Order: sequence, then structure tokens, then C-alpha cells
Amino acid sequence: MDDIKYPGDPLFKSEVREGMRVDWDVPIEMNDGLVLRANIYRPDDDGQYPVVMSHGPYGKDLHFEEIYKTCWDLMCENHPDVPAGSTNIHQSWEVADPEKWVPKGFVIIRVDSRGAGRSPGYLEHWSPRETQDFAACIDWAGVQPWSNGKVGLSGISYYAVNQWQVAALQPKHLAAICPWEGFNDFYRELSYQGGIYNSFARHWYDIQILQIQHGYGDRGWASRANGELAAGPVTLSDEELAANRYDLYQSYISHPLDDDWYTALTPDLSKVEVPVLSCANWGGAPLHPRGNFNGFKQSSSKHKWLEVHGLEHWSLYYTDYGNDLQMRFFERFLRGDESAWPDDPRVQLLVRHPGEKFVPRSEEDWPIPRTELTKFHLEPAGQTLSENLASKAAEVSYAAMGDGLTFLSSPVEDEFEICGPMAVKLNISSDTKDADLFVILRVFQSDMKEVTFRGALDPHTPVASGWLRASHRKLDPARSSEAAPFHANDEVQELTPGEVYEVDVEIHASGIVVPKGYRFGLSIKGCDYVFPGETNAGLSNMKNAFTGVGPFLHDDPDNRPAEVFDNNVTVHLGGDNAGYVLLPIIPKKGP
Amino acid sequence: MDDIKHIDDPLFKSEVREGMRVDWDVPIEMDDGVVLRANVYRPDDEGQYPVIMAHGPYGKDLHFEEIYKTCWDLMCENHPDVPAGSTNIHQAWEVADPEKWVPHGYVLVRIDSRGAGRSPGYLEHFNSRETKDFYDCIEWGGVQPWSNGKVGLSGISYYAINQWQVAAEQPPHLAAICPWEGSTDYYREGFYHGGIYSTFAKHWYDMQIKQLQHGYGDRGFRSRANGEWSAGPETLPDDALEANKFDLHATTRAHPLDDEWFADRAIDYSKIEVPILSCGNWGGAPLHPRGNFHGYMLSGSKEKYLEVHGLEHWSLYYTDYGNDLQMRFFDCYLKGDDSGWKDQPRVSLNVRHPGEKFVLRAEEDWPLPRTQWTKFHFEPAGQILTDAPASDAAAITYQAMGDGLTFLSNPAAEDTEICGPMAVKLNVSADTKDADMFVVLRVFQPDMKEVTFRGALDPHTPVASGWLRASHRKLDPARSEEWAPFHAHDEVQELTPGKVYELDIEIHSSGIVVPKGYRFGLSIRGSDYVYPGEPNAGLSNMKNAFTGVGPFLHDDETDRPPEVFDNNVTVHLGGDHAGYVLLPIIPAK
Repeated sequence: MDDIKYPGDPLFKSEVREGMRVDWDVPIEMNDGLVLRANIYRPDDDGQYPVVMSHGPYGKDLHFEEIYKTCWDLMCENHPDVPAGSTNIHQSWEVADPEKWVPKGFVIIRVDSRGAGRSPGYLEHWSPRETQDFAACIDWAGVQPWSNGKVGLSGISYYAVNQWQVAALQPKHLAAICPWEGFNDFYRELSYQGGIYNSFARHWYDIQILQIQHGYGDRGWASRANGELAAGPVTLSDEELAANRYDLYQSYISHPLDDDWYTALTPDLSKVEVPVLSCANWGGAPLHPRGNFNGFKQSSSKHKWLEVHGLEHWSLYYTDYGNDLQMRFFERFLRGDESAWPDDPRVQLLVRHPGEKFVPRSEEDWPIPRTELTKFHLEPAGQTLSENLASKAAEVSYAAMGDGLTFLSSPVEDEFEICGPMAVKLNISSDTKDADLFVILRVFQSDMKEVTFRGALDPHTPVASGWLRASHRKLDPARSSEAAPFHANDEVQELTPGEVYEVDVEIHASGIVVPKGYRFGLSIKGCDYVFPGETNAGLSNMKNAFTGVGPFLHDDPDNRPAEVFDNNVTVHLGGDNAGYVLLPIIPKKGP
Repeated sequence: MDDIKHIDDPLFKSEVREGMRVDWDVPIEMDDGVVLRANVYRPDDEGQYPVIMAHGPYGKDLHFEEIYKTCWDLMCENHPDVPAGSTNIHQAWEVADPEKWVPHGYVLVRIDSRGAGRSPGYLEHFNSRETKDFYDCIEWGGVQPWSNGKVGLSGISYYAINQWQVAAEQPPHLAAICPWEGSTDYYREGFYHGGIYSTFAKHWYDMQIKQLQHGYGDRGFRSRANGEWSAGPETLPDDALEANKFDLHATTRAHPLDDEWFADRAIDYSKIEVPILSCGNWGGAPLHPRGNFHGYMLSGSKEKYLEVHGLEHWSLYYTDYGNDLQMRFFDCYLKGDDSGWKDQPRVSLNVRHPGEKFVLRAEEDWPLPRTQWTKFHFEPAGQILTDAPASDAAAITYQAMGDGLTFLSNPAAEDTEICGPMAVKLNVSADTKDADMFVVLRVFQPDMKEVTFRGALDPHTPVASGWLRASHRKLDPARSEEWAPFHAHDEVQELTPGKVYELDIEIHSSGIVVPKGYRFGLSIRGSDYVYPGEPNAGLSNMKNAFTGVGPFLHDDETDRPPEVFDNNVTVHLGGDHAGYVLLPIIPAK
């Protein structure tokens, strides 16, 4: 079917290549008159097919290798099935390869979001305007001649985050979503962990966004497939570019509490009613997995599933494993093949073991219903973890900018599994008016080498982490559970120096099987975790060398003034002071 | 004084350069007629000066950078005072720079030992023949026209080991020695650590010796200073080279016990009577520091001094610190000028702290007289180290080829110094007829990052280590202390599988200040320590990437057949079974 014409459109082109009809720069007009540009990859016939769409700012025409060379190379080296069976000429960052999908009878649509790539307009990420655009694109695609009326959404990260948003708007033709590693809490996951500002997004904007802003033009890259400028066709001046985008850093740093600015971005998960396949990464904290877990739990969808995997943020999505998983899901909900995807199991875990070993296992729900929530108390004598309450009252102080404290378990007598959300209860005092708490659940081999993982970004990612600024300790009781304290983050309650405060620290959900003879431990520090080995060079799309937390550094001097946060913190244990980490222990399944 | 002539000698040359008289390839005839070749660097005048001599196989004419490029670069980067003030054209591996010494009124003599460099003959390291050669060279150096009759010895490693050997032979002109990182026990330090064969020397021979064997000739390197072949002048065929050297690996493997072959190389400390400045490296185990400590402790000399430092094996020797230390010593004993030495403490420690921090401190003796020998017991519950013996009897089994066990202390309540020899007492059983025990004293930051050091060779060297093959557990009581078990290594006492044996494991002396809040721990394993981080690329003169033990791997399959050593080992604790590490705790002065 090559009968789509846009007479007079200066950009639209169509050709048959790589066994597909490829429509380049298809115009989609928004309700304010602005025209977004989309690429459509579809079977070259008269059929009507389910649509798999993505909408975002990374450039539908930017080849994966341009900015993300190290990511591409790492993926291809570790997963040779990714480049196999494709010319890879259409590969882009965090969206599906049409050469893998179109032959299976799907239409793949990539839309450059407003202000990005080939789409003009004012760039403001995840804004209500942008989400409205996405909904319009979905409903546009539902009525095209090649469409069967059912639109599914697929993509990683940005392209997953906005699935939660647009699904909550309930566009008519939206039939299913598969948010692959996508957050949905703009305050707690993207910008402030436990109230502490994370400089990730600021640097991400510089490297991954500004170089593909619409009008970056001939300063940027040309499409490897069609030769057009990926952020063109126009080339705008620096002033015009600056005027056409919001100031991400100022926007977030000037909203240090979870206020209306975040409310406008954050989806009401209860309004998500379409089928959901939420795919999380064990090693993605603090950015994405919390959103995948919470989205699964809190969406109203009757049909919803959770999958959890490991390794790099982007890799498994492109593998045969990722394609098969998604295609079976979409076959059912976009094409009506009920046999392609059963109701059970609802939860599919690639259970994580040391040494990047992952063992598939199905579960009924998340958190896992048979979880035994177990308190491991912080014992000041010897700084150990014990199932018994601390023996005597004791105080342990540390310098916030130092190495902190580490409470270690005994070597475990039998292999056991920790899997799910976790929490820390602590009583602390500070010699200043605040304290930033970084807590890390760690696992050590019997020779005390730490077990870290090729996480979503950092190749030396610890097992689980939590963050809390003590002045943000106020809980939202309605949204909290024992295993998952939820902080209101709506007011700053400064500390009186020397006074003891009880704080609850959320540790983002994670999973690990601790082998016999290994120890686990809880580190409490005043700054980001540092991997006890060599620094990793990082990735081509990121600025910093990786020291254990990838790009997720909490290092903004304005947010963490030294006169407050370069302080001494005291942990009060024993007596009336509860101090423990609450771990989700998973008993082995019965026969 | 250019009046030295060796009529008709085809190699001898003499010239004035770099402000010195340099005599190249001076012939020194041995008692069996073999002529060794020496370079003499001296003031170009009529004076008579003390002599600083080195005698060994690394090539007097091989420039430091040829084989040891990474070592040179590392040293110059970290210690810019080393290349400063010298053209560095005469720099060679592990011997002094004449440009730093001759202006201070010393004659420097470097001799290629028999079979090495420019000296012909059969190459066999550290045997009595080689020691006799060294003796003859010292006596020759004492009676030359430029000599004041007093010969001192200086050099690192090989050039230090043979100082202990030749000093025990008491050559009359020998006046003082300064063995800088030099072992004294060829069996326990050079080849078999607790009875377990180390492949270090085998690879060392390939990389550092064979390319300098006399006759390697035009396959090797030219002197950067005079253009001659540093392992020449002639080039011999491979079979002639083979015939001219001993088979180090086969020979040492053929002597798995401390037998008469090792006795030929053993040192009778009691016969060492000259003044000694013994310089040890905290991070040099298992090869050298034990020898520096024992040489200091056991030698018969009245005038003896110990210095202990850190960092790379070779670096500090060449620094202003190292030159100043040695010159003050030699000024005293070779020139009779004690102005720089009379206040020198007997023991001078660069006390080691985490973060490559070293604080100089004087002590009266070694081990430190105020040492509080303290037992830290292995508590099976929680695998911790405690002040009290283990509560209940328990047995813990580990796979020898796995990660072993680690017993951890509580975080230190105060800064705690551990400094001196150490020992482990352990009751073990094995499911085979033997067991190799590797014990490692480790220190961890409060965040559990291990504190390792730029050791003598590996940049990630743990604090202290010990080794014992269980079948070598027999002690020599006469030479043992509670804090320093000394194994006889004169017979193999195989284990009966399942039966419990008490072992004493020597941990080579070390020193560390454990800061408040840090933990220490003792790891017990069946294979070499592995640093919990990325391997290091190693050095240009060594074959292996460094995984925490530098080149000191115990990985010879013939010595460690898997059917015996890939076993399960059980540690028995509590009840009647003592199990502890005895640590030298040093109270603050």
C-alpha cells in the first residue's frame, strides 16, 4: 500500500526497502496546529495491522551508534542475537528495530516529540502538552488505512515513562502498553531521591537531548538511512534553540518539594486501564524500577503483568528474549490471539544470583505473597546485623563525607533469597540542621569481595539502595506500608542539632539470592556509594566515570551545602531506639 | 688517576665522562682462572676512596629502561628526585647511580657475576662458587690504587641477598653492608613458602636473567653508555648458552625440602660481623622482608640497623631518602665520619597507615620490645575474631579452590597498630592427604573496601600473608618462637583424610596502623589471595597480570596436583581446638 500521499508536504517521502514500506516524516497535526513528524515502517501491502508506537525526543532518525556507541558495542558483544537478522540501518536508541517487527505483521511508528528531532516546537519533557501530543498520535494511528485500530506502545526509558502518562489519559485507540524500564514518579525517581537532588537529568539533558533538539540541524547527525539531518531540516541559532526549550535544571532545582509542578507531570496510575506488561531491571535504581513495580501494583488494568530482568538498561529489550516477550503480549492485545499470552503467571522474574546469573521463575504477584518480612537489627557491638534486638543502648557516629558505617551479617548458613521492597528504620541525630542518609544493601563473597552487578548503567552496581534527607522524614501514611515507607516530601522539617529523630528510609525494591557462606550488610553513609574497586570509564552518552552509581550522583553543591551536609551523624541503637533493615525473605516454593 | 692499564686486554677501556673516571670491563681474575668484568666509576684524581660494590647477574651495562621500562617510568613519575641531578646514562637495575655517588667521594664498582653480562662462565645463582667470586672481588676492591681499603656493599634484591652470603664469609676488606630488600632464606623465601612452590623464580629467570646471560650477545641490548653488547662481547649459540647455565626450575623442583642443595646457599648469620644497615619493605612478602628482619635479628654484628619502608621494591633506594640513608651509614663505616650516623636509631620504621601514608618513627629493636602479643580467636559463630576463645566446638569446611573463610574483627575502637611477626594456630582436617593453607591478614575501611598497598611489586598488596603446606607442619623448636613458628621442612608428614592436625602458620612480618572504625580480618584459603578489584597490568619485566600477589603465584601443577590440593578443608574450632591469630599490637609510645 503506497497510496499515502501528502500533497505539497516538503518532507514526506516513501520508499520500499529492507522488505518494508518506509514512510519518512509523515506529518501529524496537533490540536494547536503544530505538525509532528513520524516514521512509519509497515508491510508493503493492503493489510491492516496492529500498531506499535513510540513518541519521544531521542531522534527517530538518529542511528543508535551516533551518541550511544559504547552502549551499542556492549550490547552486540554480549547479545549477538540483537544485530543478527537485521541490516541494523534503522536501529535507534531505546525503540524497536522495525526489521524485527514488520515481518511479524506489525506497523512500527516512531514519532519525534515536540521540539525534538524533525518535529518543531517548544521542548518540554513529559509536560502535559507533550502527553496530549502523544495521545493525539495514538488516536491518529488508530484510524490510518494500514491500521487495525489497535495501538500498542513500546520503548525503553523515556519511551516507557510517557506510556504511563498517556495511558492515564485513556486515548481511544490505545490497546496495550509495555513500559520497559520506565519510571512514573517524577519527584522520587527522576529528580529527588528521598528528597536529595540527583544531578543525572541535568547531564542527561546536555548529552542526550540538546544534540537532538529540533534545529540543532547541521551541527548534529544525518540519518544513516535517508541522509536527512536527524535534528533538522532547519538549523537554528543557539539563541533560537535556547528560546525553544525549557531549562531543565532550573525547573527541578527550583522545585525541591513534591509540589504542583510534579503533580502536573505525574500520571494517576489508577486511570491506567489498558493491559500492561511492565518490565523492570533489578539494577536500575533509583531511576526506573520503582516505577515499573509501582505501575504494576497501582494501575487499574485488569490485565497486567510484571517482568524483571538484569543487565544493561537497553540490552534485553532488543534481544530475542525481549522481542519474543513483547510480541506475544501484543499478539494477544493488539491482534486478539488469546493463545499467544496466557493470564498466568502474572509475575515473571529472572531471579538474580551473584555472577550475573539469572534464573527464570514465575510468581503470583508483587510483592511476592509468600514474602517473610524479616527485621535484621543493627547491633552496635561489632557492627553486625542480628535477628535479635540490639543488646545495649549505644551511639555510633560517622563523618557524613567519610566511609560511613557497615553492619555485617554472619556468613549465611544456607542459600536464601531477598526479593522485594525493603526499608530501614533508624534513630539519628546530627550536629547540623539536616542529614542526608544513603543506605546500601550489599552482599559479600566469603573472601569479602563485594558482589556487584552490571546494573542498568554502572557495571559495578550494588544490590539495593535507599536515600533520605532527614528533613524530609515525614511519611504519607496512606501510601506507606511497613516494607515501603512513602514520604510526603511536602515540607522541610529541619533538625535541632543533637536531638534524636526516628527516620524511615525506603530501599528501592531489588532481588538477590545470597549463597551459602556469603555475608550481606547494610552500609549507612552521608554520600553516594562508592564501588570498592576501580572506576569504570562510563558510557559515550554520559559525562562521568562510573564509581558504583552510574550517572546517579547526588553532588549538587547548592542542594547539599557543605555547612549542613558535611556533618557528623550519630546513629542511636538499642534501648528505646529501633534500628533495623526490614528484608523481604523469600522461602523456597513448596513442591 | 688514569694510570690503570691492563696491557693487551681486549676489552678494557677507560674514559672521563659525566665528571668521573669510568673504567669499563676491568678484568678481575678468580681463583679458578675465570675473569669477571667490572665497571669502576671513580673520582678522576689521585685519591683513595671507599668502595661501594655490587656483584650480580642483571648486567652492569644494561640500561634500567631496557627490560624495566615500567619500573623506571613509575619511579620517575612518583619520585622526581631520582632522575634529577643525573644524566641517568649509567642507571642500571637495582644498583646505585654513580653520578649520585662519585661526587661524594666514593668509588662505585659493578661486577657482572659469573656467566652473566660481560663475564664468562657457568651461571648458577647464589651457589658457593658465586659467593667465593664475590669474596674475591671484595678483596680485589680493597687493594686497588684508588681504594682506601674499605669496601661496602649496596644494591637491591639479588644484589642484597648475596651481601648476606658473602658477609658470612668475612672477607677482610669488607667494612659494611646495606642489603636493600634482600632475602636470606633461599628455601623459605625464594622458592617454597611454607613448603608450597612459588613460580616466581622460574619466570624471573626467563625474563630477567636469560636475556643477560653472557653470550646472549647481539640478541640482547647494547650499553647506552659505551655501545658494547651488555651480554657480550661474543654471541654464543643456544646450545652453548644452555650448557652454560643451570636449570633453575628443574633444580629447585627436584629439591622440595630444605636439603643439602639449599644448605649450600644458606647463610650462617652468626658469622656476619660487619656493620649492617638492613632495609626492608612492608609490602615485599614473601620474597625479601623476612630476610631483612632475620638478618637484622640474627646476625652477629654489633653495629646493626634496621630500616623499613614501603612503596615499590626498587624506588626508595634511588631516591634522595635512600641515598642519604646509605651515605650517612657508609660515611660512618667506610670513611670514619659518624656525624650523620651517631644519632641513627637501631630501628627506623616508616610506620604504615592506609592510603600509602608513612610516618617515620625510631624504635629500639625488632620485634619492638613493647609489643603486646595478642591472640584474636576465630569464633565460628558469625566468623569473627574475638578476644576470648571460641564458645562452642564447631567445624567449618571450605573448598580449597574457592573463596575460603574470612574471620572479621569488630570495627577498631581506636587507632590500633599491628607491627611485627605474626602467627596463626589452626586445627584442620582435609579430605585428601594434604592441604595448602594460605592465610591473609587484611584490613577494611568502614565501607568494607579493603586497604591494600602499592607493595614491592603488586599495586594491590594485602597487609600480611602466610603460607603452609599441612604436610610440612613439623616445627624446628630451636628456631621457633610463639610469634614466629619456624618449620623444619625436612620431611613430608602426609595427612590421614579426616584426621585433625594442629598447624602453626608463620605470617611474614608486616606493619599497619588500623584506624578507628576500620576492621581487620584473617582470610584462610586454599589458593593465592586475590585482590577484590581489577587485575593490574603488571610490569614489563614480569609475565603475569597482577591479581594481588604480584609474581608470587603458587600455581605449579606438579607441586599442587588437583587430586590432592583441589580438596575440602575443615577448620576445627572451639572445645579443645585452639584457633587464633597472634598479632603484635604496639601500644603508643
